[in-house]
Amino acid sequence: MQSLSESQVHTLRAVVDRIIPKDDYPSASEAGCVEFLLHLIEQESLVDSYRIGLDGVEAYSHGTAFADLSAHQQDEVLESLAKKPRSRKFITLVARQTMEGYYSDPGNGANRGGRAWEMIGFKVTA
Amino acid sequence: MKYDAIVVGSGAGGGIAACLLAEAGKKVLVLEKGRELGFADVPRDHLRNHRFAKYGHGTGPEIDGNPRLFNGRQVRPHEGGYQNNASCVGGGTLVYGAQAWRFHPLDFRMATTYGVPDGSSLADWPIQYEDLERYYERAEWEIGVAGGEPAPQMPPRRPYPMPAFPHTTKAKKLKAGCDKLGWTYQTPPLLINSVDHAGRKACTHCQHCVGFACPVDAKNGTQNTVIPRALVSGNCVLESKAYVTRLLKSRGGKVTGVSYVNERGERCSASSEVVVLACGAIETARLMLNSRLGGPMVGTSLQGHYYAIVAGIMRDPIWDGDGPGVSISTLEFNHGNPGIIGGGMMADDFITLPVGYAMNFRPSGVPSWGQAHKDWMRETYRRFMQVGGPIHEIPKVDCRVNVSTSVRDRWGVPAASLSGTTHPETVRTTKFMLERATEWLKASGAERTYHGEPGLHLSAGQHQAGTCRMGTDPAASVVDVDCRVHGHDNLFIADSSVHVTNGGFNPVLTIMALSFRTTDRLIKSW
Repeated sequence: MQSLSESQVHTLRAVVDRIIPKDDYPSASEAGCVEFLLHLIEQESLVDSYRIGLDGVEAYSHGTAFADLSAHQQDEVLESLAKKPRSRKFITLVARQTMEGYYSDPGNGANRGGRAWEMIGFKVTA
Repeated sequence: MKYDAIVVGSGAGGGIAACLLAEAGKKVLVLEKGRELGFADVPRDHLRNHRFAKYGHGTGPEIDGNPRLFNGRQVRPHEGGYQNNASCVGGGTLVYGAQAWRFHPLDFRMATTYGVPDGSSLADWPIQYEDLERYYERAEWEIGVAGGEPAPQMPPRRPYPMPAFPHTTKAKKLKAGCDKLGWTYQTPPLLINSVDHAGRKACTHCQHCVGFACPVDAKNGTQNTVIPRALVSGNCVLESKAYVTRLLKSRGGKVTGVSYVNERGERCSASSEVVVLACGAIETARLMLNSRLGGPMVGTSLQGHYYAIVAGIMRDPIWDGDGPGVSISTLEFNHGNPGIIGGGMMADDFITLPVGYAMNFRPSGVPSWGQAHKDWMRETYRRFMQVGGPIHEIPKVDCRVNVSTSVRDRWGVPAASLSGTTHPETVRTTKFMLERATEWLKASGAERTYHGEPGLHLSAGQHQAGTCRMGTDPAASVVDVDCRVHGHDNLFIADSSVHVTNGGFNPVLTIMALSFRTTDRLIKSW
């Protein structure tokens, strides 16, 4: 099984940062979601789904690299793909797994410094 | 060597059976498929636990080599449809939420109270609440329950050994809601130390209770109460990672022991006067079927609990992080609901972990990703609460455990094959209870409430029950009133398999009480 190419990882980084954008709290990639996903999809045998899905995102970006589109244009691409029967499954999958990383325990690697928990007000006291 | 008794499984039922037999001087061998686990072995992994098991769970059974079939589809232990329960010393009691409810007296008389709906296998239990009463009390005192006065809907009982947990911030809101509606309420009884008890610490009110092992061993399961007692007696041998593949029989059909795979992977056997099965409703039925024991009713009427869960968003934050988190309940709707069969207990819930909230509680109108989703998480997590509870399921014969003719586990034993969907009356009761839960949240100040719509599916899960039902007629049941398998005077079942119906409550205290009763009667008749 081949892992994601450098450019696919580049696309993934841009995609997850629209799923959980940066505001005064970290974006998904700042929190560690890309590394989390790369590990998870290998474990879950989802690399091929991600390769095909991310290539689909690029193919729909009208000749410009997805990462170079404006945030607004990126959202439009993802929203359009989420409505198409062939790409809907991937958008749902990457959105779900990004959330799973971002909001789970820092031990999983995608909630660096517990910032997501600080943001929503979840505290571990004992 | 020949034992007096072999107990298969060390969870709620098996642990108690082993203890009582060993303390009565019987030589006991406990064979537990899972490992011995403690807090250090069960990580606080929010993606791998018994509340969120998408990528695994902190206990057994191991992901590979333990398949089941769910409506024909092969599934692994952490996947949907498997109906997993923890597989380790103590079984589910290591990681449970530990609600310690007695069933309501009418829970034992469902057919008499409501009639038998077409297509259902609803029946009365052959024993009544009064038969279990003193054994409930033993479970409450010997395993250790914290709680207050009984609900007014329940018979009076001896106080618990420990005081109730204090109400949380959300419980105070829900208490005000009850007062407004004129509903009675109480603190849910928990098998958790509210104060230092039996040589172990009080609960630290942490945020990782249900689905996780306790950091200070304040959660009372069989692994830290009756199993140590059994071992201290000197009469009990506990083998973990020991997987029973079938029961052994003499040429005349008498059960003589078990065949099992030990922790080194060696196939071996052990013989005994008596065998007690306590592997849970799915694995006990599978073992019976694979051993060609127990007749045509084995594996039928598999049931668990539908849950009527409603989410509420309050005006102001109510999250206080005060675990375990389940803190107020009402028994107003277990019975006596006009036009409805049965009902259930309603309570608030254990602390909802952030990832569970993000994945399971997004209301319609909130997008599944993007800034709006992030804003929703940030604005509502501390204002959120859920109420709901287990619905007394209306069983059906064709909800069942079979054994597969094609799929086998790593030891070559035919896998459990689960199929069927619950009776429509279960769904109707669930809808009724969703309305009550909504009413409660609104009266308690919720700005918004929402819930999913229940459909027909198979329900078993951690509350699995019913596959070797108790009864007096061997044609319609598997065990007799002493939980002895019909036609086999030395084979007993001490888990939720014997439940005729599963109550409108978390079933563990009933499993414990039944095991106390079954084992007590076995010893007295030995």
